[in-house]
Amino acid sequence: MPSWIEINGLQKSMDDFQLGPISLAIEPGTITALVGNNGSGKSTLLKLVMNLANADAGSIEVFGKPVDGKDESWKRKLAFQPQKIIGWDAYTGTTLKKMISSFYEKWDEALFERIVRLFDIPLDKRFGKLSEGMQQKLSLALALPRNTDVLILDEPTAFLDIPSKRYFMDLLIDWMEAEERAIIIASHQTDDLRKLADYLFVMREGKAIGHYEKETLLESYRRYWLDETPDGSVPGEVSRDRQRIVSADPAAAEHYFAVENIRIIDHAALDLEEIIDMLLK
Amino acid sequence: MHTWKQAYWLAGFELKARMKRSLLMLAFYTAVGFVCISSFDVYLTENFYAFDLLFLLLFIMFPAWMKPKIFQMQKMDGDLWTVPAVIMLQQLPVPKAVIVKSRFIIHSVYSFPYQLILLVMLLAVSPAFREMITPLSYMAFLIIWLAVSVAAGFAMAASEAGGTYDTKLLAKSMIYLVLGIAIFYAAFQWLADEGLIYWTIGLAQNWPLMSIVVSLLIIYAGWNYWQRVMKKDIEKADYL
Repeated sequence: MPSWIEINGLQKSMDDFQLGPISLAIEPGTITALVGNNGSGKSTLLKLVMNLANADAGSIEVFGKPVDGKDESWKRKLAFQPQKIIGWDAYTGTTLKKMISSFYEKWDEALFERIVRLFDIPLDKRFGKLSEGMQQKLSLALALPRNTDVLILDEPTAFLDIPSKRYFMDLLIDWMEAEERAIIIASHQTDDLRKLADYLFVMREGKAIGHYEKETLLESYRRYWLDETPDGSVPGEVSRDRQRIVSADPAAAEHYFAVENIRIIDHAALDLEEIIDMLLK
Repeated sequence: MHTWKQAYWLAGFELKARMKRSLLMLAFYTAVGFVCISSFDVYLTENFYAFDLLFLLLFIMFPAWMKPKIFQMQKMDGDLWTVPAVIMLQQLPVPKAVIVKSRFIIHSVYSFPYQLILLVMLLAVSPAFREMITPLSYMAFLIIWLAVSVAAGFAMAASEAGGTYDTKLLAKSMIYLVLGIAIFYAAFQWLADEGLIYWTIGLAQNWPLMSIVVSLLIIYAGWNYWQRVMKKDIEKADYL
């Protein structure tokens, strides 16, 4: 099946920041998390996908259509929730719903009402008067029911409290299961990534570090407690703290320990947060 | 046609969102206009040049200033300046042509009723003006000034596309703009030996039909030209 979103050799420079070259394909039925430190270019990448800025080089195609082409119909297949919502302040939730729902054929009114009840969102208050958390809840309530093929979320849980985050995860999982869809989510929240993501696209200072399948990534890092400190470099060695070594190539590392007669006292998988930390260093 | 229908529908949201405040601003700016226009007889009898500048301001800048602040051009992240609605609508499946048209409809609502009120007020408050002008000439005068509004004032609507502007560059551009207007105004006074409004009254009196036709052509051309400019500027801008 062809990719729904295809990014090839994308580059964009702004002042002293250079994004790319970035290549990434989004397949149907997947959740891809964009991971990176602040200023790594995640939001810029998402805005380029939404054609809110012009690329210096490379291309972005959504459902086979170049985003900077004359045909803008591809936007009906995408729902975008930016990190900072601009232009909504003067409107109430009811007005925003009236405006936004009209653009999407598959708008799910029942889901909208369910989310509004779940998060207890006041629809009669102006968006600008709501707290940041409530703004984020309303914007989610206005994003999911669009039922587009692709949902793009930029830091969707940054201002949510813990129970709301849990509800949000459940909503997203239900949303994904309903039809063949795809989600791109930029997030700093490891919980989001651990529970939701199928793939991680890791970025550092505008550059792509790698595109990983989450389970494969989790299996590819291992921490070893050894009975002695190895003299040489261990295959895939990522960090070393005396007899404690982390390797990104466990099979080769274990072979090395066997050859060098180094006994493994214990070993354990790393959690996702640690792996991301290492990738971003 | 569907594009215009969608644009009207979208513009309605913004216009309704601050209706009370917009009506108050219209009343305020009409009062300001009334104060200015009450001195029109002085302009006609003593060639009070500053009145031309005031009139240009009323026709070109006031409509943009009348919009509620929340919908006006503002500084976003970094050096990005734009109207929030332009970003909001681009994140939805709204074609750029519809965005442009909706901005023009909104600007029209803040321009034409106010400008028509001013022009009718002029007839009501200035006996000297009433004596000078016939109904046909008045019609021509009115259309000439609506043409000024579209040709120059709608540059303000087109500028809502925004873009990334360095603050220094912005300040420089403002200085050049003021200098440009001053030079144009001085040259006009020197060449025509009369004020701009006086000159347009002359056009309306001497060539009313020709003035109407040319002004309508200017309105048509300006209306389409500024829309094309805004669409191009939206395509060029980086809303990051």
